[in-house]
Amino acid sequence: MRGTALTIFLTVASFAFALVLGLLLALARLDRRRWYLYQPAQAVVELVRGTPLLVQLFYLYFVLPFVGITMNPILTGVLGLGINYGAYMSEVYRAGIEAIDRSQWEAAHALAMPTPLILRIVVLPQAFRIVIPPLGNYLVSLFKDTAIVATISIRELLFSARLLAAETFQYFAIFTTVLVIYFAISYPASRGVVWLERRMRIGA
Amino acid sequence: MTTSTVDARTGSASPLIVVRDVWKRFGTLEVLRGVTLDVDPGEVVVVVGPSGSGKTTLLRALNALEMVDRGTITIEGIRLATSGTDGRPRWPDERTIRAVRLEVGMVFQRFNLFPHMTVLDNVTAGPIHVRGLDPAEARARATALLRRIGLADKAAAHPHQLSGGQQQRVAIARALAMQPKAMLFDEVTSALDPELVGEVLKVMRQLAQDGMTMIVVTHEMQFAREVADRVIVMDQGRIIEVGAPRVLFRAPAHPRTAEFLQRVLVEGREPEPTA
Repeated sequence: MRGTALTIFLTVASFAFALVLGLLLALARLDRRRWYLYQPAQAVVELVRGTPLLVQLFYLYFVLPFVGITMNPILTGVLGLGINYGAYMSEVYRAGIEAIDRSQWEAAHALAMPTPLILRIVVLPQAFRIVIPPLGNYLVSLFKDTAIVATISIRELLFSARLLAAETFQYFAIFTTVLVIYFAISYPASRGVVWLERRMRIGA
Repeated sequence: MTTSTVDARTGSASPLIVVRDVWKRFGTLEVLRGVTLDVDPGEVVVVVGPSGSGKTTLLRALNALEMVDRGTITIEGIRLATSGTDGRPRWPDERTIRAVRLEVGMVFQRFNLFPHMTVLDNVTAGPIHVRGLDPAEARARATALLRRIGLADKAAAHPHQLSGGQQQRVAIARALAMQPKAMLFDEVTSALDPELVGEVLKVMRQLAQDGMTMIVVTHEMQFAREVADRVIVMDQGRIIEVGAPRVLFRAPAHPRTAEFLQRVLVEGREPEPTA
C-alpha cells in the first residue's frame, strides 16, 4: 500500500511540474520572431516527442551520473515524467491560446495593454477553460504512466506488486488487485475532470 | 468615372489627428490610396462610403491596429507613422504605439468585450492595469460611467447576459474609462438588431455633446446628419468628398456620393459584409 501512496505522489508532483513547464514552453513558442526563446523550446518539445518515455527515463537515471549529475530515483521519476508530459501539454496550451479570437487581442491592444498583461488577464484565463478537458486526460494518462518508473527501481505500486508476487506466487490475486487500484483511482479522476469542465462552462 | 482625391484638412493650427497621404495595401489590394485628413479637437467626423472603400482600415490605422505602407500619421503630436529618408515608412516602436492608444479609444463592430470578466471588470481593467489607477477609485469611476450609459444595475453581469446594444454601450464605457482624447467608432451599430441601434446612438450623441473628439464610421445617415461636424465620403481607398452634412447630403458634388447616398437612403441599411 505504500506503493499506492508513492504512485499518487509521483502523479501529483510530476503533473504540477508538467503544468508549469508546459505553459512556459507554450509561451516561449508564441512568437517565432523571438527565436532565442522559440528555438530552444521547440527543440525540447521535438526531442521529447520524438523519443520513448522509457528511454528518456533511462537516460536521466543511467547516463546523467556520468556527467556528474546523480539524482535519487524518485526525483528522476518526477523530472522524467514532468518533462515528458510538459512537452505534450505545451501543445495543448498553445492550441488553447491560439483558439482565443484575434478580436480579443485587438480589444486589449486598443486599451494600450502590453502583451504580457494581455496574456495574463485576457487570453490565458480564457484559454485555461478550453484546455481543462485535454489536460485532465493527460492527468489520467500520467497516473497510469507512473508504472513505468518501476523500471528505475522506484517501489511504486507496480514494482511493489512484482516483488510481492515473486515472493508469494499469488500472481492472479496481486495483479488483479493492482488493476483494480489503478482503475479505482483513474475512473473517479476522469469523472472529476468532466465535472470541472461543466462547472467552468457555467461561469463563462 | 473620375476618382479625384479630396484633401480633408481643416486648416486649423493644432489638429488632434493629422493624416498625410496615407497608403495601405493588403497583398495586391490597395485599400488606402493617399488619404489626407485633419481632425480638430472636439470635432465629430463621420466617415461614410460603400463597403471596401477603406473606412475601417483608416480607423484601424489611427489606433495602430494596422501599419500603413506610406504617409504619416500624427496624433496628439505623437508620430505614429513617419516616412524615413528613403520614403519608406518607419515602424513605430511598442512604446510609441501604446502612447497613441492611450490617447485614442476604439469601439468595434462586434463589441469584443472580455467574456470571462464582469461588466465592471471590463471597464476597470484598463484603468487599473494600464493607467495604474487605484482599484477603488477605478471602480467608483466605472460605476459613474455605467450610470451614465444606464447600465449601473448590470455591473456584476457577464457580457453574455446582456443584449447586443447593452454590450456595445459597455464597450463604449470601457474605452471611455481610459479617458482618451479621441474616440474611434467602427460601424458600432452594424451588428445590432434594428431596435437596439437607438440606445447606442443615444450614448454617442451624448458623448458628442460633451465635446469628445470622434471619428465615426457608420451607415446611419440620420446620425451623421444630426451629429457630424463634417462628413467624409470614401470610395476605393480615397476621400472623394468632404463637407458639412447639411450641404453634402442635399447637394453631393461627386456622382459616386450621390449614387451611394441614393442606395443607402432608398434601400435602407446597406447589407454589410465585414470589410
